[in-house]
Amino acid sequence: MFSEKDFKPKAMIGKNLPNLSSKTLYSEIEKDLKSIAENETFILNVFASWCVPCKVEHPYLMKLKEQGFKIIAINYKDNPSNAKQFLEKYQNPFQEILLDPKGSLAINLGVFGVPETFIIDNNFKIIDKHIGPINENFFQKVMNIK
Amino acid sequence: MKYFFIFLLIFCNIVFADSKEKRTNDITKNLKCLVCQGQSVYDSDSEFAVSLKLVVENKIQQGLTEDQIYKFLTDKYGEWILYDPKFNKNTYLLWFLPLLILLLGGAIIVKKLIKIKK
Repeated sequence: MFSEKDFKPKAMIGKNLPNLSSKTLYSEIEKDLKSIAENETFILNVFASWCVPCKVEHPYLMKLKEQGFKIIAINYKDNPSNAKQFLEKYQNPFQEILLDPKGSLAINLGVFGVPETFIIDNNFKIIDKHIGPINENFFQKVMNIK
Repeated sequence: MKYFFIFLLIFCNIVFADSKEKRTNDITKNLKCLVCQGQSVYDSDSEFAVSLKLVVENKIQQGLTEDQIYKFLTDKYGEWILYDPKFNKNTYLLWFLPLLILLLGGAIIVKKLIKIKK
């Protein structure tokens, strides 16, 4: 019935996003998602500098930023200086980046790899999730939210 | 007397650490590594499995029971993450389907045999 390699867990869709908190990439201050989101619809992207598909999807994130979308990132199991170099090289679409050195934030989101992207509404509910690099389909889905 | 208490403290730490490790192992043996082919979280060294083992350890430290930890993970990943999913309204089909297929197959065979006998 299922092929394990095709299985894409989406158990979190329709549920409230856990209010995760962590230190951010560019400061030592701990921040939580709710305070960054400020009751707005936003995109939550899980990425890492070592993740090749993250580079592939990055232009879509930049386009979404240009369209006025708020994008918050979880930097998954990464070296902070490598993550900063990645963003300097490819540009930074993120309003804020929470560090997840051990991958525990990702587990709380039901993530099993990078990249993964969530659409969160202004009630902090997960309305959709995309596993793998953002493609044109998902990009259009996000654009239709506005 | 002081040395006795120090010994007792060290001994208890070792015993309880072993018991926590055993609980982590038991739980992670029942969790599928979702990025591996056919491996449990216990057996896998993938990034996903390493993170999940850490989360399970933390939940045990926080005092959660095995059922509470499974509930936490099935809320995130669905029943699919368990090798041994619980019997509930979401898994009726999973549990009953093999039996239904067996009964259906058996009925077809019996019907054919009756036809042949006639």
